[in-house]
Amino acid sequence: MIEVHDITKTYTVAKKTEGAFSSIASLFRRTYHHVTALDRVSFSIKEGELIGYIGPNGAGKSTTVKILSGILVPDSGTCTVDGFVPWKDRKAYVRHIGVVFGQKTQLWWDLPVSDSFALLRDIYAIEPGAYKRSLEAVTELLSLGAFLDTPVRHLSLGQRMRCDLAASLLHSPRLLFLDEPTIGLDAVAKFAVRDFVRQINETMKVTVILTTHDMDDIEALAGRILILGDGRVAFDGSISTLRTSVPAHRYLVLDFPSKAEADHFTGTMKNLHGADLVDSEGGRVRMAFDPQLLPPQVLVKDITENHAFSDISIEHPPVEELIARIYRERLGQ
Amino acid sequence: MICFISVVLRSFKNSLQYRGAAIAGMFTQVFWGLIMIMVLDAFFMNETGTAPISRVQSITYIWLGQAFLSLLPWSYDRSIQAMLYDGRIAYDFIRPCSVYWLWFARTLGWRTAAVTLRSVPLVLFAVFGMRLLGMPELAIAPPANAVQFLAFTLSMFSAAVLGTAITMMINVSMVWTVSGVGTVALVSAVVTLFSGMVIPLPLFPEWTQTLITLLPFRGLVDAPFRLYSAHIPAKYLTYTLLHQWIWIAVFLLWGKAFLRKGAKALVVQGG
Repeated sequence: MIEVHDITKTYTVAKKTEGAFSSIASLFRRTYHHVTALDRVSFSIKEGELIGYIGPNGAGKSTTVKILSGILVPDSGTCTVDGFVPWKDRKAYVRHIGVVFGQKTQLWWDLPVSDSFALLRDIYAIEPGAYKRSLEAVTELLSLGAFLDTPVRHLSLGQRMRCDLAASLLHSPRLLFLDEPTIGLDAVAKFAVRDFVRQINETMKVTVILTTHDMDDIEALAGRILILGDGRVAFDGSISTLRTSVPAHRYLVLDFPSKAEADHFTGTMKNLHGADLVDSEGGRVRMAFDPQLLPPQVLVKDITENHAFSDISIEHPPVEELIARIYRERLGQ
Repeated sequence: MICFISVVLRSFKNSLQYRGAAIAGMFTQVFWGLIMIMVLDAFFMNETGTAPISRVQSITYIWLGQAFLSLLPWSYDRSIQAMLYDGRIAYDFIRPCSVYWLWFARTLGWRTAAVTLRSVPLVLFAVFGMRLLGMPELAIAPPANAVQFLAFTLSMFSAAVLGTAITMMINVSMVWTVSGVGTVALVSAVVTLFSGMVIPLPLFPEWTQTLITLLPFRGLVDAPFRLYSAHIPAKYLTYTLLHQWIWIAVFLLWGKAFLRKGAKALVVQGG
C-alpha cells in the first residue's frame, strides 16, 4: 500500500549567533546550515498493517508523516501510497487518508464538537447515509455521546483526543496517520485510544501508522515497528525480532532484609563473574548479566549458597531499553 | 460550494460569541463617529455652497462607515494566525479543498459576523439615539429611495467580498511573517485613508480624484455609501460593481498565486 524509496529531506535553517551585534550583522549577511531530517529512508507497508513508527525527538518521524500526507515535498526519492504520489494530485489523494497530529486539534475551539463533524461532512462531501453510519460507529466506539454538543474548549484532553480521532475517520479513510496520539493523556484515556486504534485496524481494516514515544503504545498495538534515528531507518521488524536482535541481557533483582546486608553483598560482588551491579537502593540490589556467558542457574546457585536474601527475581529488559540501546549503538547517540 | 458555505456559517457562528468585544467596540465607534461628524459639521458651517458632497450626505457617510467598520480589510484573521503559529494549519492541507477558499470562507464568516454584531445597534443609535440626545440634524438619513437602497445593498455585498479578498493578502503574508502585525500597520494606513474612512473621498482635492477612483479601496466604503444617499445615482451602479469585481478578480488571482508560493515555503514545524 505504501512504498517509500530513498526519501531525503533537508531543512535550511538560518543560523543565529549570540549577541546584539551579530543579530545586526545577520540583517546583511545570513549564514545558513542544513539539517537533514530524512536521509535515504525506504520502507514498504502492506494494507491492514499497524506500524509503530518510533525514534528520538528530531529523528524525522513527523517529517515522514507530513511527506506521506502530502504536506511536504521531499528533496529526492520516490513515494507512492495507494497508487498516488501524495504531494502531487493532493486533493484526490487526501480523501483516502486521515491524519491526527498529536497536540494539534482539528476541531473548532469554541463550537460544539458536532459542528466540527458537520463541517467535515461538508468538506469531504460525505453522503448523508454514510455520514450517519460512520458517526454512529465512532460515537459508539469512542463513547462520545455525552459530549457531542459540548464546545471543544470545555473538553478534557482525553475527550478532545477521542473527538479528534473520530473526526479523522468520518470520511472512512483506508489509511490513518496518528502522530503521537497518546501524548499527555492519563492512563484511562490512553487505554481508550489504544483500544480504539486496535479495533479500527482489526474490524475496519484501516492501515495505521502510529508515531509515539510511549513504549506501552508500541507493545500494546504495533505488530511491526520501524525505528528511525538521524534520518535513517535503524530497525524494521516485530518486537520479538527486536528482542533477539539486540544482545540480550537479564536483570537479577535481590531483596535483602536490611541495607547493611545489601551493602555487604555488593562488597562481595567481584566474586560473581559476569554480573554487573546496576544499582543498589535500600535493601534492593539490581544486577545485569548476559545469560550466554553466565547461565542464570549458576549465578543463582552461587548467590544462594553464600548469601541470605528475602526475595529474588529475574527480569527481561523492557522494550524501552532495547530501543534506547538501538538509538545508542546503531545511531551513535 | 457546500463546503465553502459550511465554513462561512461555522466561522460566522464561531465569531458571534465575541459579543462583549463587539459591544465595547460599538461604544468606541459611537464616540469616534460623533467626533468626526462634529469636525465635519464645523467645516460645513463655513461652507460657501460649493462642497462636492452635502452636509447630510457626509453625516450619513460617516455613520455608515462606523457601522461597517468591521468589513474594512485593516486586520488579519486571528484564527488563521493562531493556526499558522501552532501548526494546526497542517489540517487545512489534508482536506480535499483549495486551501485558499477554506481561508477565504473563514475570513468572510468572521467579517460578516463582526459587522452583524456592530452595525445593527450602531445604526439604531444613529437613528434614534441622536434624536434622544437632541441632535436630530446629526442623525443618519434614510436611504435616498428604494432603488438607491438596492444598489447600495448590491455594492455592499461586493464590498464584503472585496474586503475579504484584500484581507486574504494579509492572511497569506503571515505564511512568511507568522505575525501579521507589521503588514497590518502598513496596509491599514493605506486602506483607511483611500477607502474614505478618514475623510469622505469626495472631499479630497480635485487632483487626487483620478487616482482615488482607480484604486481598489473606494469600492469598500465610498462607493456603496454614496449609492445609499444617491450621491452616485443608481444608474451608475454597473460602473461601481465593475470596478469592485475587477479588483476582486485581481486580488483573488494574486492571493491564490501568493498562497501557492507560500505553501512551498511553509514548513509545519514540530510534531
